[in-house]
Amino acid sequence: MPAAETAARRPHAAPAAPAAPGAECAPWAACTPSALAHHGADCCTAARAWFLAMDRSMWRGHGGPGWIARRWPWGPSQWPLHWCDAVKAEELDCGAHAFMTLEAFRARGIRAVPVQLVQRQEAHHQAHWLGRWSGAGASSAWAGEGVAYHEACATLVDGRAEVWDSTVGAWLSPEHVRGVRSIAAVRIGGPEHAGETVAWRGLCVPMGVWITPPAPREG
Amino acid sequence: MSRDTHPPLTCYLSGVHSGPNPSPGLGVARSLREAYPHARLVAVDYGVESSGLHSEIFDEVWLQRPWKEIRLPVYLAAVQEVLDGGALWIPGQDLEVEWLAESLARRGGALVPPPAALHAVAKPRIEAAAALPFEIPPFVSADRPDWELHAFLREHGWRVWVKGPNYEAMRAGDWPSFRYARAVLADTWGTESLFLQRHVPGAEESVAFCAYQGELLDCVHMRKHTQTHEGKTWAGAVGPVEREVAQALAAVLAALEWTGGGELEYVRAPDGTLNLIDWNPRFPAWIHAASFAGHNLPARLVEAAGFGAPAAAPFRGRQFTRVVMEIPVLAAYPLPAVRDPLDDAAVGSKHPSGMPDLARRLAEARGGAPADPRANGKKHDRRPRRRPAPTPPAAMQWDLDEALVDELPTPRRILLPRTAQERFAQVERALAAGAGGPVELGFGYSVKTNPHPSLLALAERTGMLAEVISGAELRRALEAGFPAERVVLNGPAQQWPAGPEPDGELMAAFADSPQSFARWLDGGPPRARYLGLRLRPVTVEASRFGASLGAPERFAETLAQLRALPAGQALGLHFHFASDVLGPARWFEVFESVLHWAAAIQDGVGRPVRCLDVGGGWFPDDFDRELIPALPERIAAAAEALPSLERFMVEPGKAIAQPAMALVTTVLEVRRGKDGAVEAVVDAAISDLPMAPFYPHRVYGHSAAGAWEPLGGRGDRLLGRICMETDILASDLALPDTLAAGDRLVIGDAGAYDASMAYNFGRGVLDDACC
Repeated sequence: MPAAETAARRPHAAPAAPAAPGAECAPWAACTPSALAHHGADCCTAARAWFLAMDRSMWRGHGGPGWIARRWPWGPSQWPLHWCDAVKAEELDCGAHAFMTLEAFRARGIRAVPVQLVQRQEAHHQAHWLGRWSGAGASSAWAGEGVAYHEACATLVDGRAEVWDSTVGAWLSPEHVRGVRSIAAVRIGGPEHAGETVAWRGLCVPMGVWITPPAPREG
Repeated sequence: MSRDTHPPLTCYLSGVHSGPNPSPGLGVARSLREAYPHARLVAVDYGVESSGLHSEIFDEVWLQRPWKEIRLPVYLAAVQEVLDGGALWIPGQDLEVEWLAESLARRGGALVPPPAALHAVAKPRIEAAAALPFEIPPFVSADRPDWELHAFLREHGWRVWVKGPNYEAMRAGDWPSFRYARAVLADTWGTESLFLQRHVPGAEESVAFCAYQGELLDCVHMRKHTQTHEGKTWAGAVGPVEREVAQALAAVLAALEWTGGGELEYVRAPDGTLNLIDWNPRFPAWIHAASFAGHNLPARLVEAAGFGAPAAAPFRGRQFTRVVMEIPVLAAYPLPAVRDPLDDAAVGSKHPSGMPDLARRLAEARGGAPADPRANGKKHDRRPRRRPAPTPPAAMQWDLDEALVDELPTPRRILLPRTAQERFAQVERALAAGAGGPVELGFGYSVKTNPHPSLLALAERTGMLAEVISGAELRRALEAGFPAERVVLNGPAQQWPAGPEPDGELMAAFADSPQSFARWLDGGPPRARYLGLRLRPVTVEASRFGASLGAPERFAETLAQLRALPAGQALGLHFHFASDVLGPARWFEVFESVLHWAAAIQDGVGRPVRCLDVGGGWFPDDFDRELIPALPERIAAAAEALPSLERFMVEPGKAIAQPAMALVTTVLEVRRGKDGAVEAVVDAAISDLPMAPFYPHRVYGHSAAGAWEPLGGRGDRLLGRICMETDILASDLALPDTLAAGDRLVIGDAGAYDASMAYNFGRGVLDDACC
């Protein structure tokens, strides 16, 4: 993600401080980022090699791997999910999207870490998700009432983070804190990154910690 | 009239169409209505189809005659009268801004920039941008020879826009679509002053601003979120302008003494560069979105013009979207009558405000391009300007002089020996430069491009390999003196027609599909030093050739097949795609991805890739200027990805044969139109030049002094002898003024597929295969 684009978003804004997340995020506070499993055999080795070669074919030297969500639209996944099954799936959930994105960025030589989010959603959407996920035999524990657990991926370059939402195929902004799909809470990196901080479009974010981005000034 | 006392505001707003490609007048009116609730707002437009005329935001409508028929002095006097009455005029169309700026100079009330400022922001150069942190994407004037335009299109991977001087752009994804776009735009705008500009991928953004007598009053940034199929804004977000841009813009506007609205349209490329596409001398159509984000630019402009402080408006959000809504049509301006449904003419206009007509009127007033021949009942010569001729290959003149062209029966394809020798010498030099490295470099002559014995002999003497796609070509190569170990076999029908096997081992053989490979495994593969598969790159999945890698199952099958090769058999991989279809830069991108696939395959198979065969369809100039200089670096990259690589083979395709032959033809008839256009019917036909529609061919005629010289462009056509509508050999030539029946013309660049794919149609015979 180019630094120049970051600068465009808040060119005159002073750095803002994040806050501790609210209680709405509590159900997922202890969740760890999803990871594809490997059978330790040719099936998963070839699947992963195919995936990485595909990513290098799609990559134009910049940008996120938008092809992942185009190839595997968002939908239920059963976990544990292995590489050989994931690449043949018709659709994948955000955890699979995020892990594959992580692998792609790392294969490109870019430092990347998992991102966990709790996003605000329409409360009445939960019933649709529960039905779809349970019908596919997948866990729907990610879907709450008015909020949902989500996974993404962050690139870290020169102390700056950019968050790629693999499921949407877009870079996320910490300013998106109001309305549907807005960020109620976010954690960049895991406990192993504790003590590090990164700048996410002007927001100083401690890694490995759940935070709530501040609302930008309007008007 | 002094405005010190803040007189009641009367504002004329032109350009009020509101459709998928709207003008800004309606948005400006909505912003002014909020800021000056009691203002008298007058909608001005030049066609009753302009939908915004019917909006209730306006107090009055001043409908003008269409630009095609309007009497400019009469209209100018009327505009001056309303301005003298103390009204303001905010034009919403670029060309009307130009006209007002030129006609009214700095008359008060017309909120337009000075003519010099408009000159400084004219496309494509946009000279004023030199002081801004923007880059101008590469461009070329369409008045260059077709040969150069084709090179520009290839250079930028056919991701190029053909643009008019003021409005409208069309994508040119290949040569036929470029020619179509050029013809449409030239016809619409009545000008040859078109240009081609590279497409820049990235985020589309704008900066809208307003300035008064050189002082920047306010500016906002807008990023498109969604857009129409035409690329027009549908939803977006408004925010502050980057400080660096705002400061530079203020300085530039001061230097230009800018008055009025304006918009910079640019693309933020992934590398962070800002690529300026357009500098519009008027507000954008989304300007009211800036107003409800707290920046009412039209009001700031009116305030600066002396009409008092605008009413404050509440902030209502930075993001905006457009909606579609129905409004009553004003009784005074009813819709035009419904067209006869049996009339095939297009319904509606892309330009309801008549901008193409104004463009012609302004060009006529400036003494430039002629006006529409239909306007005011006058007929004009609309023959395009003559464009320069392309540069011929250095040896071409010698070859033509020695071929005794005027004495040959026609149509006749002739070998150009010096030109051919130059092409092979190029390969020879590249082979010499690549010799001695850890990876052996080879070039394959594609027999299918032209199996002429002289060319095959030259290829053999140059040390090239023979690349064949059938048993017939294989035997042809062997007859031409190529030993089996210098033959590379590929293609989907290698076994056709059946015949004796070559005595020795081939250099390489590549199966065209998993099915072909399976047949090899069942029946025994060809004897070849390297055996392998042709790969179909995933970014050119439309290709019919090669093993698809786009699905994990196919990849796993490919690995399984290659693992089944006999022990000790050296593995090779093959990738071909026409470089002139992708453009060299994109071809190199695909090449890089092929290296990743090859590395993944050798890891998965557990057998090293020892031979890589790449190429296909290089345009001669690109082969010389792009591929050959890049080979050392590309070979090194291949060796790094494939550490056991022994041999790197390049198949240049038509790059060798294309310039090496020309088609001589005799003029049968010359038709000179009343508009000056010339059509010549010749005894050659599309069957002799089947690639005529797909790339420009350099055509040579006799100069006044009798020498052969390349012809420029001017819209003259060369028509073939066959009674078929598509039999047009060239459609944009400048034929010699003295051309007459019996004269000879030579069509160059006809040595590759024009030769090998020529057919018998129209000769009164059938090909053997038909019988």
